[in-house]
Amino acid sequence: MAKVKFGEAKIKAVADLMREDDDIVVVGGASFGGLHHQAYSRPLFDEFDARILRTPIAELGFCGLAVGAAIAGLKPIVTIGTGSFAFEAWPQIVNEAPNIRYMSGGQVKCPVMFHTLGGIRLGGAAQHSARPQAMLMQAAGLQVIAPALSGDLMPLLKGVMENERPTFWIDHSLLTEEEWDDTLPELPFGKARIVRQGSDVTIVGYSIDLVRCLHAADILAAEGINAEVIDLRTLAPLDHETVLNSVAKTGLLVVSDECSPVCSVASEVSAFVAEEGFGLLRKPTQRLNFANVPVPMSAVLEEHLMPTIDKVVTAAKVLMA
Amino acid sequence: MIPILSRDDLKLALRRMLLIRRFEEACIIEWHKGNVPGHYHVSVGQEATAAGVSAAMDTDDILFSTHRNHGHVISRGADPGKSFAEILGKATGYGRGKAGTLHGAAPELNVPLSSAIVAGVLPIAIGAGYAMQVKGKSNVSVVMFGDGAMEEGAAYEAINLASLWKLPVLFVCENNGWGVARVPGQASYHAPNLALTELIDLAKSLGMATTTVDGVDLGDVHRAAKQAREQGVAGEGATFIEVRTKVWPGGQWPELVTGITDITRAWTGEAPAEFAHMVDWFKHDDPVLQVARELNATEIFSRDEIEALDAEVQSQMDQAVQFALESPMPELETAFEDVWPA
Repeated sequence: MAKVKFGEAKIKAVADLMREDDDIVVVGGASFGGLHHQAYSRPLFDEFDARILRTPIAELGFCGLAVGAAIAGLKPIVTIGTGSFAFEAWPQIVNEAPNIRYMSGGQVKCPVMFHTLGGIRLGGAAQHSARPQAMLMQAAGLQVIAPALSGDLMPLLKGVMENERPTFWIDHSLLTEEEWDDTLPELPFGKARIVRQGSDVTIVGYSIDLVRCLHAADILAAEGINAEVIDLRTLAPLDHETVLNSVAKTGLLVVSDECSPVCSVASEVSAFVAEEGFGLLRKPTQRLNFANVPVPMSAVLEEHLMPTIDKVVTAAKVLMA
Repeated sequence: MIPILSRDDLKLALRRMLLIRRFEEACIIEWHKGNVPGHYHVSVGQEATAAGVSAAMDTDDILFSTHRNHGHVISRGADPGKSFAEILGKATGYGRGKAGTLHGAAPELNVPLSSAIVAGVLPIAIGAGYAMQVKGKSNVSVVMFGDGAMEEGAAYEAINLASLWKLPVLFVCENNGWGVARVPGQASYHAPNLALTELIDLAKSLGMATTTVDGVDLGDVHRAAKQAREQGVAGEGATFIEVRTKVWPGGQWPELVTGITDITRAWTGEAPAEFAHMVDWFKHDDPVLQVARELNATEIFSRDEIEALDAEVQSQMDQAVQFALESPMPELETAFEDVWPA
């Protein structure tokens, strides 16, 4: 099994899908990598130039264009840029795309996929650091995927192309240089993955938080604590069963999530475990979020508010104490 | 003027205009009986726009609409029974009761979506045009919206992108001078919330072909739409068509200030005493009466033929209303269907 960088695997997955299906087009000039990672996306632009629509700074216009193109038979992948820019297209992402199939009584498909480098990318300040995923989970009818591992990119993207639902891909620029196995054991779309097996404490993450959780598990292992780490993979749908089964084993739960704490991804995980697995928990769930303030620019302030590896380790130890 | 269409197609256009009128009348009648939930938007006085544009469209062209969509959907041949059932939230409606009046559609007739956000559908419509361009199809995407849509930023972005990429799109702006902030009784050129002097000026400044047509005149609308369609299919880009409708009875909802249309007014020019104040509208501004009058004056159809067609349409609409009223409400479990993968 070969190792491959996330940034490279991402472009390979998109390119492989585009080779298989002429209806897939890329809308938006942001590419999939951001300014610092254009080397990864270059091969895509070289091979599929004619199927990449470079757009003006008009998120509302080109996200809507992608919705309409999806209705009319294409499968657009829209590269929006940072998560914060998605707000400029919010009406199309949350108020048009997710409703179309439902309002038509199941007759009209809208297989559009929006992509952003959502999340705290370090130094992005308040308007280039948004984590829109928890808000997007409120848009019923919109799938939200958040792959963290190279080997999960192709299965998740393929799953979206096959089920033809409007989807938001929460990506993270800090994942780009991470290196992982290029293939992983198969899982159905919508199932969470147990990335590391353990029996003492369950640690749940997704996207960049999953990476932090895995590093935390290594530190905990050195101290004799055997953590089970779960990657949610998709936020909508959200897999309850895998998390509950793990908590049934460990009785202790830590959830790490870059969103602000109120109505966050971590809130939802904590809520369903409390509702469906109350008797399984030996102690209250530890939720780790970014603080409920705008993201400050200064590195020390930003770091202070982040759900860092150290905080995950501390939370697990608090539960184990 | 009479559109340049075959006799059969003229009859179809007239039939659809009559059906739109009877459909909207039925909405108001049934609303007053308490059978129609919520509020809705009728297009009495705007029938020539829908019928004229649809008559210029190919069956594979796609039409998008807004909250005021009943006429647009009917103009493409939608089943009035299924459309009315949808307004009542019935299981037999086009959206199985999930769309209602605000989201009228007839997907099998290439009317996939009406968005109830006034300019929300403009970016979507240019996307369908983009798909046609990418796939090399000889089709156009048509979007029909009101002057109020021009107040939203989405309209600017959609018009700019369509112009930039020469997309095969027809922007059909029905200027009924309404908007949401119009002072009752105070007529204006367009919704007074716009700084534009002319609605076409924005599109014109962005390099798009524009034209302004008379919304009472079926032939004028059809000619403009046909020309815009040919331009779009030829790869020469989008057109912005402003259709000006006259004093707009539909806006007086829930009252039908024009009363139930009597098609014979087209030739008698008479109006009952209670509608005396509307006599000018009947004589000059009602597109349905106007087209009937012209088709009769040019001897394309006799009065008897037109009256018989109207009676046939009225009977069709009566049956449609009955179908909708008698249709079952959706089964509760269907609330969970038609969205997520099974």
